[in-house]
Order: sequence, then structure tokens, then C-alpha cells
Amino acid sequence: MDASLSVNLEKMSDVANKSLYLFVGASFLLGHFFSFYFHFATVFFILLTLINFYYLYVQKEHTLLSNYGFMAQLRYIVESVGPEFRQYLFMSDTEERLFNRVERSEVYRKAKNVDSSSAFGSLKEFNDGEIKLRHSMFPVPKEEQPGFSLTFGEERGIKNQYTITKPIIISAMSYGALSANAVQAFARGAKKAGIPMNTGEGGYPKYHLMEGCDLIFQMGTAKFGVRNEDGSLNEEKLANLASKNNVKMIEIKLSQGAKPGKGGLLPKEKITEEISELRGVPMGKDVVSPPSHIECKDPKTTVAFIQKVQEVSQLPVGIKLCLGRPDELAEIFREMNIQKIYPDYISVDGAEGGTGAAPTPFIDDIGLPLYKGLSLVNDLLDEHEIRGKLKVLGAGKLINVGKQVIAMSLGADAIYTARGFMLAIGCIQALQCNKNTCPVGITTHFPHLTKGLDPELKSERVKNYVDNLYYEHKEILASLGKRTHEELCRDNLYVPNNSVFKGVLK
Amino acid sequence: MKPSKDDSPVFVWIFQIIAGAILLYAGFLKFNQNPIDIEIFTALGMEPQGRYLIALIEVIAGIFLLYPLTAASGALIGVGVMMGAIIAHSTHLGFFPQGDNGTHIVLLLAVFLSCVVTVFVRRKQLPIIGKSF
Repeated sequence: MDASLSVNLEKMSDVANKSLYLFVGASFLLGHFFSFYFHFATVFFILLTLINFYYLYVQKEHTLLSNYGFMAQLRYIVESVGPEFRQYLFMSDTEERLFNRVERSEVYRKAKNVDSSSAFGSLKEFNDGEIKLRHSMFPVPKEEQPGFSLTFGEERGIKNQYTITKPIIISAMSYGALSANAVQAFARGAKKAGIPMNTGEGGYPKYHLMEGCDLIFQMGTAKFGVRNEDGSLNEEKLANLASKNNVKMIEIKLSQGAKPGKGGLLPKEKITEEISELRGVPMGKDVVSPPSHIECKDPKTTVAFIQKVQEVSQLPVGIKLCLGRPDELAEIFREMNIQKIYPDYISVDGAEGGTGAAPTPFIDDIGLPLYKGLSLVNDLLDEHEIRGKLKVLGAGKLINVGKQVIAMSLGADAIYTARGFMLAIGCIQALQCNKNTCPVGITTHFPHLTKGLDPELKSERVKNYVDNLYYEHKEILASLGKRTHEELCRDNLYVPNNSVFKGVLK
Repeated sequence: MKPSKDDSPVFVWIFQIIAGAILLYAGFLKFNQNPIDIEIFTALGMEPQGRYLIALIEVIAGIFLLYPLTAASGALIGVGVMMGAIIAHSTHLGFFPQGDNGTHIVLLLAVFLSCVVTVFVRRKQLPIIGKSF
């Protein structure tokens, strides 16, 4: 039986297409004999008929337009406004991707320093395999918590050790991917909050340095800012940069969660004259970094390169990677034990990590997710007896406290987040980072879009976000019965039987 | 991707300027009680509201034509107004009204053709329907 409300769209469009000629004729006659004003309609219908003729009989590119004429255009119009409608009207608070409204609102509230309590109950699922934290019967009074402290470089006993006092670091975001205003907001906020910021691989960190916060200089595979023309390391430039007071650590990016096995990508739309100068790249074409460092051809050369950077910079040096094959990483760890060279930290980036621009299959389908990667890396470190020789950082959608503490229970000593901070300064998840059209001025270089992003005001949001995160970290630690983050372990986690992590996490 | 980027060929600006200038001039004449226009719109039964309405549309189209982001829309409006003018001349006014030596019709065709060329060159920049070209 036909559904009583079914509409035969094919017939409807056929009638509409044929009616157009009738409308032209009717409005012309009305205009001629009744009032000339009807010729406004005549002109409209003539133009519509011409366009419709083009759709139906000339163009071949769009099948729908070719088969159904101008009526099919309605589909494209409705489709084009779909994302906004879904985001604002039709999607529930918990189903939106990447971050659902519940997760984002949590960040917004922390950043604006408003009450972040919830009422009536959790919106999350409790039977779908989500990992939860296990509290203790005997919470620790908060006064007994000594406060967070993590020192990089202490294992090597170097002179320029670096200590962080909050477990949160602003993850790698470069000027170029971000607007100058956004970088300044982050850097100023980092200084106010007393945390470091990673510069990203965008070359000389001019705007990051302006604000006087502690910086972790990231060296991507193209080594922007410290490269020779052939892509190898320019030791003099690195030494110069490392000698700056604000630069506290160096991070060698081996791979990135959002695009593992592929170099960074800066779309040509975002390359201004200044960016081309800071990075040493030409304008007018996409800048694609090589997939790996020219010096790192195998485990042996990779470890040697880490040593070289440690020697040249005289700073704590970390490596950032997204885990692909544990056996390859094990090879590198074996080589570290042979050469007795260890990085000062390893940052494990989950495949769910973010980026300004990357090919879709790399964002969607390559690399291990954070929790799995983090636990595997920790197992490997233990296996090779080098967990005590370095620190581990975790990154990948860790915008809220619960997930951060879970990651720390899986072996991370501190947390990197970039998108959490982007949300904190007003990101509305418009997903236009690669188009230079970010409506809130974070990932665009158009002055009319960045003018609304006031670095001073937004830096306060950064500080509030960090303060509130840290406050909740301590609250959660207390409820887990822990005094310090160091006491966190896998035993704090409840992993349901149907969780994909069952078996990986014990 | 860049909203302010205009990668249309430079020659189209010649047509935009021709059409834009004539439309602006014609619009101002209509606003300023030009006797010939009053006569025309009286003949069409649209005096004075219709004259002001068309003048306003002409001025808007003229301004749009001179700005890269809106040139396509301006040209499409221009095509529409000129089509209306052609209908008026063919049905009510004749092509050489009041002993006009042909200037009127030459200007009309100049605007019409310039707008057609502009719309064609910038068709991808038309709002909403641009993507289908």
C-alpha cells in the first residue's frame, strides 16, 4: 500500500518545469493588458526558464539538475544549510562530533568561570563499554595533596631542567595554522596560568615569544625555523633559539595523530607574506612537510638525531609520535638502550588528535587511538626498563578532566591539549580550520574575522580553563584516594567487559 | 575559498564599468525627474512609484557591478532590468520614442550585453545557484 503522504517528486518537478513556460506567458499577458508591474514576474520567469533550460539540456555535471531541473536546486540549498541546522537544532547534546555539546559546554563553562555543576544525572552511557574511574572508600583530604610537580631532564641530570607545576600543557599550535591574535591569547593565557605552550612546527615563534610564557619549541619534519635548504638541521639556528630564555624544551615531531606517516600541511590560502618569511617557504602553493626527518632513516639514526638535538640545544628534548607499530617502537627503545641515549619525554599522540588541515583518510583511519597507544607505549617502556628514564605525555581529545585523569592512569605524566584551549577562547567547531574562514578568528588571517578575538580577554579564559581543570584534577585525585598524580595507575580504572580495551588494560 | 579573492579575468571589468556607469547615470536621471523618463513611465502607467523603484534597482545594480564580490549579482539584476526595458520598448514605447536618434536603444543594448557577459564570466560567483555552473 502506498504511504498516504508520499510525494511523487519526479512528477512534481516535471509539472514545475513545464509550468514555467505557462508562467512566462501568463505574466506577460497580465503585464501587457493589466499592469506593467506584472512584467517583473515576466522577467523573473524568463530568467528562471533560461537557467532551467541550461540545467535540463546543457550541463551534464549534476545528475539531479539534469533530471529534475530547478526543483533539484532546493536539495542543494537545504543540504548546504544542513550542518548548521543539525548543530543548532536537531542533534542531541550527546551525539555531535567531534566534541558533543556536553563536552564543549563543559569547556566553555570552565573558561568563563561559571558554575559547571550538572543536575539530575549523567547524560553519558553507562553500559556501552566506556572506561570509568574507580573511587576509593577513603578519599584523601585536599590539604594533604602536595601539588603537582614534574621535572623534565632530571634523569639526565642536565643543567637546564624544566619543571611544570600543573599537569596541563597547551599543545602544538603554530602561527600560520592560527591567527596572531589566537597565538597571543594562548601565550598570554599560558603565562597567566603558569603553564608552558608548545609552539607547533610553524617556524620562528614570533608571536609566541611576544608574551613571555614558557615555550616548548616543536621541530616538525620540515624543521621550519631551524632548517638548512636541504631540510636538514641547522645547528646554529637551533642553538640560537634554544638560548632564548622562554624556550624551555625542544620537541622533535616524528609523527602526529591526525596524520601519522605524513608531514604537516599548510594550505596556500593561509600563507601570508609574514608566514612565508617565518617559515622560509614560498607563497601561493600548499606547504607540505616531508613525512619524516631527513636524518631519521632507521632506529639507529633516529636515536642519534635525538642525541644531536640534546647536545645542540642543551635543553630537555622530547619526541612526539602517534603509535602505529609497537614492534618498530620497540626497535627504537632497544637502540636507545644500546646507545644509552634517551629523550627526556615521549609525547604519545592519539589518532583522534586534531589538526588544522590533513587528508581525510589520515584523519579518519590511520594510527592507534590514545588510550591504546598510551598503554602500549608504557608497556614497551617497562619491558625495556626505560620508563624511569623519561616522562610520558598524552594527547588526543583530552579536553575534560575525566579523560585526562584516565590518560594519566594509563601512564601519562602530564596532558597536552590544543582543542580544549581553542574551545576555551571561543571555537564553535565550525570545522573550517583549513579554509582560512574561521568565523571566530582563531584559524584565519582575515582581519575582519580576527578583530573579534581580543587576546587580553581570551587569555583570561585560558587561565580560567587551566585553573578550573587543575582544581577538578585535585578533586578527582582526592576521591580516588591519591595524594599526587604519580600515584595514578591502571588499577584506578574500571574497564567493562564489552570495552575494546578489555584485555589490553588489565 | 578566500572570500575576497577575485580571480576573474581583467577584461570583464570593462563591461562592468560600462554597465555600472550607465545604470548609475540612468538611475540618477530617474530620481531627478528627468522629463523623458517621466513621459516613459507615464506611458507605462507606473509614474511615479515605478520610476523610483526602477531607479533604485538600477542604482543598486550599478553599485554591485563595481564591487568584485557582488558583481555577478549586480549583473544578473542588470540583465533583469534591461529585459524589462526591452519588453517595454517592444510592447508600449517603440524603439525610437519622441524622435530619439537611437541613443536610448544603443545604451540599453550596451548595458544588456555588458551584463550578460559579466554574468557569464562570473556565473560561478552567483549566490546559491553559482555552484551549479
